[in-house]
Amino acid sequence: MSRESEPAAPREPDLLPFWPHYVLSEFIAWYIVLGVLITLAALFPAGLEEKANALQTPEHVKPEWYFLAVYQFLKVASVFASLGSEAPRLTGILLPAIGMALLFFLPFLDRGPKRPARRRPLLLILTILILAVVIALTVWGQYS
Amino acid sequence: MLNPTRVSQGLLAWIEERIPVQAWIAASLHVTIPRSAHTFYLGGITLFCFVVQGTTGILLALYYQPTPETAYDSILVIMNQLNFGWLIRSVHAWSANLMIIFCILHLLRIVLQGAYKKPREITWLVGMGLLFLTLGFGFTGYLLPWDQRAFWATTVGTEIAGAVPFIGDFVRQFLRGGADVSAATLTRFFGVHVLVLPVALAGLLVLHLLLIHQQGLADPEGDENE
Amino acid sequence: MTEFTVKPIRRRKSIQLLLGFSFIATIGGVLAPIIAYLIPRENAAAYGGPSEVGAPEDFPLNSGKIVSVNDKPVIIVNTKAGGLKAFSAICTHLGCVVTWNERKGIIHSPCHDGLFNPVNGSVISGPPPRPLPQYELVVKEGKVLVGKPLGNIYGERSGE
Ligand code: HEM
Ligand code: FES
Repeated sequence: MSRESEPAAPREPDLLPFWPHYVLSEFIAWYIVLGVLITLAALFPAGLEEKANALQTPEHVKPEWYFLAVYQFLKVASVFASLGSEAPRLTGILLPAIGMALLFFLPFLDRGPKRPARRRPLLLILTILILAVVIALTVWGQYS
Repeated sequence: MLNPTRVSQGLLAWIEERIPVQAWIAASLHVTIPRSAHTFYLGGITLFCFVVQGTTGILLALYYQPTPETAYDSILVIMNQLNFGWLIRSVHAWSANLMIIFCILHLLRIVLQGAYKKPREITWLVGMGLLFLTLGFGFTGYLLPWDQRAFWATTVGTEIAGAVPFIGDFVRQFLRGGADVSAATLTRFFGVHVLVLPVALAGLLVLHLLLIHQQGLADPEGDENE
Repeated sequence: MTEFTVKPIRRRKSIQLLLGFSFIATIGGVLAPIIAYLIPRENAAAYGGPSEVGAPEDFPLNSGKIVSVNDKPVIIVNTKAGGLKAFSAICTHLGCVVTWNERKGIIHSPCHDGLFNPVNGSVISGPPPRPLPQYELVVKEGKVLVGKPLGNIYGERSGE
């Protein structure tokens, strides 16, 4: 990586006016999203199951997809059972919580000066790894 | 003779003389951003989804009734009897999912471009707050239709929160407003979903955007403190 | 030369027109369903046949009693001159629910002292602009049944 060793030369960023250039592109993006929303809503309307019944649990109770990874991890955490009866529950909750806390304080943990990911291979690899695990857990949660 | 253009120009000038609205708008629009700052419009799209949620959410709240006896039936009325009710509810559901997707993609671009570094740490922290609030919307909104899926997903979800060490029992009771998922849970989730979260998210969003406007977008090709 | 300068301007104009038109069309397309959605649903389900409001003994001579028929207040009056009759209990002035005035033997609206005749619902005095609409009433097998409003729901039929 020859770029790494280059001294960071002070550079003037190439500037683009926010108005109207950026705003116009943003509007176009919104337009597309609105179209996508209406298409999705028309093709796949929101569903409704039977009215809630506190005396009968349906099969396959699942949280929303964005909580699936944590949900699945909690189930997987039963492998820690050998460490004590409370260990699976604790690790299943605590590890994701610690992960979120680390993400929360990311700017204070990663203080290196380099910005773009291609000049920070460790960060790139970590991101891809974490993302892969989360996606895998989500898919697993969906199909188990 | 009254000339409409003259009148409106005069009116605008009259307002401008007292409160400089046009100057404020000009000041907030006439900024520049680094050409290399590829936002992919992700933050803006998340914002758009929030606006869609606010609009469709208010419309749903006009007919929705947050009690265990009536919630389900009021959703049926919205879906089957009102003009375009199915569309408004479906857009609300889809936009909720897209908002979370785009929020996460937005976060990823911030990470990959290192846009969270000095001096933008506070923007990042506010952004994390926005992410949590968005997830809170999803969690509370899921219960409101009061169908089997809603009821049991909330039962399990609050049960998981109850697994938190030491304070678990309290957290579960607090979320449910009692020992079980019941009428108290429904009104609680409804209040949080339509009052607490929107106000909190709007507040943080204003802060987020003010900070971005103040600092400008990060230039991902430049190192920090450029 | 002129051709060269005129063309881009004309194109810009038409693009602006096109953009403006599609913008307005989008706003309209978003607003139309919202306005349609705000129109309340018809309350058609309400009438499910005549409803039982009690036995004839519940409505003795010279009495008036408010009952609920399909979620609407109805006053059942029993007078010597008119017999057992049912009128809408919603005052035609500003919508207060009328009461029975025992002493005078007439229907009384408490809000602005409107007085109605218990025989045909017509206005005796006060601000109400129209008579109280009468309801179908039959006594069958020891039950008093109240049905639909008779004639125009706004009570604009000429008195009998
Ligand atoms: C409701 C959710 C959110 C909304 C509506 C939102 C909105 C925005 C918008 C409109 C921008 C301008 C640039 C762009 O469009 O990318 C922005 C920038 C930014 N956002 Fe967010 N955001 C949200 C959540 C988050 C989250 C979850 C984070 C990270 C934890 C975050 C961190 C940042 C940072 C650091 C910037 C500055 C980027 C730069 O200087 O290049 N935001 N946000
Ligand atoms: S409402 Fe009956 S008299 Fe005014």
